[in-house]
Amino acid sequence: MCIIYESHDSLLFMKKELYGMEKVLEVKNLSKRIGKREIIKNISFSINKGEIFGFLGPNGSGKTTTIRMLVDLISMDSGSITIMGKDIKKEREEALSHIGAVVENPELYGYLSGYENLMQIARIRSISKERVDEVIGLVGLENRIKDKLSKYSLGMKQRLGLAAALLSKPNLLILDEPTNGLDPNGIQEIRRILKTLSKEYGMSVFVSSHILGEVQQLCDIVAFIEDGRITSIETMEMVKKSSRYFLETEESDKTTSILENIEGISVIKVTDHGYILELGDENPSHVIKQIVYKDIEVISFARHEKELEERYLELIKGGIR
Amino acid sequence: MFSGLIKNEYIKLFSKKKTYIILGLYILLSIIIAMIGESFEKSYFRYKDPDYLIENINHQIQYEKEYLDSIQNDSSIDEDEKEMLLKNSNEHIETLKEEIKRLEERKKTGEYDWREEYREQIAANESIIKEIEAKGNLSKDDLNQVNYMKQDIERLNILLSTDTSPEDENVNTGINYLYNNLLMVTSAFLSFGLILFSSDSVSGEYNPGTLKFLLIQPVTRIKVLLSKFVVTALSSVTLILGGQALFFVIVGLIKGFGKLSRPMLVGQEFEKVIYDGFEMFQRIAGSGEYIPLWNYILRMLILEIFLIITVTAFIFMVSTISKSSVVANTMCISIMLGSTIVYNLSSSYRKISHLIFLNFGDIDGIVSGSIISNTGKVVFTPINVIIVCVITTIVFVLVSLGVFKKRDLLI
Repeated sequence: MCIIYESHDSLLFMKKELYGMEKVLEVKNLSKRIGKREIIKNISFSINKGEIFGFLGPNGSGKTTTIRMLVDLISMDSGSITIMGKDIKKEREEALSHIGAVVENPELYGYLSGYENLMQIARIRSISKERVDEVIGLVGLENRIKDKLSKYSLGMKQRLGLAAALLSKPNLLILDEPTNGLDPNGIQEIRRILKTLSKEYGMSVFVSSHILGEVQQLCDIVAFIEDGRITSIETMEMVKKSSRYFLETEESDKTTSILENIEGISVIKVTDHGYILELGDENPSHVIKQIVYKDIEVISFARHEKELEERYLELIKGGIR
Repeated sequence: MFSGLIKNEYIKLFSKKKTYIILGLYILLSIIIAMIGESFEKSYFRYKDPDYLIENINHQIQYEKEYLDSIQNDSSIDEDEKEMLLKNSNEHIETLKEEIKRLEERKKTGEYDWREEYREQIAANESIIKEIEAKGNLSKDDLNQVNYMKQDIERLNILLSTDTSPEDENVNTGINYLYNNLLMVTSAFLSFGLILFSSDSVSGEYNPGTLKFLLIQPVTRIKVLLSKFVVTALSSVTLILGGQALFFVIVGLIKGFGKLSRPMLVGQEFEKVIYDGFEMFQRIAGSGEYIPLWNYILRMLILEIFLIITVTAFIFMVSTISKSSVVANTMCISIMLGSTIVYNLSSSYRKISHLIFLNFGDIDGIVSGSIISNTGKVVFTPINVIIVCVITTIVFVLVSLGVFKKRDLLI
C-alpha cells in the first residue's frame, strides 16, 4: 500500500504550523427534536486540522443523529455547523465538498461492482480514475474491486465505504463505527490508515464508536455523549491523567492512621496492605515522605493510569458496567 | 456535475436485472401483438377467399329457396303480398347467383378489381344522394345520410387516388403493426409497465439506504432528484418507442411497410341526442377530416410520449413520497385500477376525465375524437390532453422536489 499526496497537503501542514490550529469543524449549540423527543440538546464542539475526534456514547445517545446533521441528511432545529468556514445550511454544497463520510453502515449499490460504486462518486465530484485506483490501493481492495458489491463481506464493504469517503481527499472524514465487521488485522490496518492520514497529511477525522478500545487507541480527543448532551470533551492525555496512586506497605494499621492525618487526600480503597489514594492537589512526594519518615516499609507506590473505560463509566450513566 | 449524475443513473438503471426482465416482457408483448396481427390477416384472407364466399352464398341461396317454399305454402298471406315477396326473393336469388358467377370468374383469372368496386360504390352513393336531393325539402335524417354518403365518397376517392386497396387495412404490415401496438400498449400495458419500471427509482434507494450515500455528496438534492426523473422518463420514452420502431422495421421488412397514405378520420364532432330516455352523444354525419395514416400515427406517438412522461412523473412522485418500493407499487396500481373502475361506473367522473391523465390511455379515441362520445366532453381533444399532461407533470415534479428537499433522511 502506498499513499501519494500532492504537495499542497504538505503546504497546508506547514500553514498549520505557521498560523496555529485551523478549525475544520465547528458545531455550536446544536439541537434536534424528532417528534416529541429532544434527541440532541444544545451540543457544541469543534475539530482542528489533523485531529482524530472520538464521539463516544451508548446506543441511542444521539451519535448518529449528530452525524446526520453534520452531513445535512437531517435538518437542525437550532444551532450551527460550520465546515472549513462554510455553514452547512447556507453553503451546503461548499461545506459538503470538504467532507468524506460513511453514515451508519456503508450502504452502497449491491448490483454494481466495487469499482463502479466508487466511480459513481468520482463522476459527481469530478475525481480522476487515477485517484480512484489510488484509493483502492490504499484500502487494499485491488483484487476484489471488479466484483459485485453483493459478494463482499461486511469488512470489505467497510473498506469500500472508507475508500468512497476518501476519494475527494476531504479535510474532514466522518466515520460511524468504522471497524465494525473487520477482523483484527483489518482493524489494525484501518487504524494505521487513519493515523497516517491525520498525522502526516493533516486530515481531521470524526469517529463515532461504542468500542472504547478503538477510541482509546485511535483518538486524540474524545467527546462523551449521553442522552443528547455532551458531558465532557477531553484529550486522551486528560483521560489518562490521574491523581490516583496505589500504595502498598508492610504495616497497615500505622499507615492508615498516617494517611488519615494528611489533609487533601482521600483513601478510596483499602486491601490488606494496599491503598488507592486520590491525591487532589497534594504532591505525591509529600505523601511518600511522611510514610517513609515514620519508618514504614513501602513495598510499592505507583501512579495508577486510568483507562478510557473508567472515565466512560464515570461520565456516562447507564454505560457499560 | 449534472451530467455525472445522469450518467450514474443510467449505469444504475441498466445494471439492474429488473430492467432486463421488464424489457424481455415488453419484447414478448411486442411479439404477441405481431402474432395477433398475423392471425387477423389470416382470417381476413380466409373470409375473402372466392371458395369460402361461394360456399357462403350457396348457403344463402339455399336459405332463400326454403323461404320461397314456405311462402308458397303459406295460406295466411294474401296473394298480392305473396306475389311481391316471391318476386323480391327470386330477385335476391338471381343477384346471389350473379355474385357466384363473378366470384367464379375471379377464381379463374385470379384478379380482384377493387378499384372498380370502389368506383361502383362511389356511383351508388352518388345516385342515392341524387335520389334524396331530388325529393327536395330534406329532413334531418336525409341530410345526415347525404353528409355520410359525401364523406364516404371523399374516403373512396382518397383510396383511389392513393391507390390503397382494402387489403392495406387488414394485412399485417409494418404500419398496421405499429398502429395495433400503439393501441394495445397505451390502453392496457403502458401504466403497469411503467409502474414496474420506475416505481423504485427513488423508493428503491431508501432500503437499503444508498440514498444517504448520494445525498452526502456536494450536489443539491434537487439535482439528485431531477437526474433520476430525467433518466427514468427518457429511458421509458426511448425504450417504449424504440421497441415500437424496432418491431415496425422487423415486421415491415418481413411483410412490407404498408400504405402510409391510407385516410384516417380525425376531428369528429358529436351532438347530444336523447335515445330511449338516455342522453347520448352521436357523431355528426360528415364531421371531421381525413388525414394520411402516417400523420395519424405521428399524432398517436406524440400523445404516447406525453402520456409516458406524465405517468412516469406520477409514479416518481409516489416513489419519492412513499419511501418504500412495495408501498409505491401498491399505491400506483391501486390508483390506476381504481380510476378505471370509477371511469366505467361514474358518469360524473367521466365528465371530468379530460382533466385527469389516468384516462388518457385511449389515444386512438383522443386522436380520432371518438372519446368525446364516451365522455361527453367536447374539449377532450389532443391539444387539451397535451396541455393537461404538461401541467400535471410540472405539478408532480414540483411536489416531488418539495417533499424531497425538506425531508429528514432517517435511514
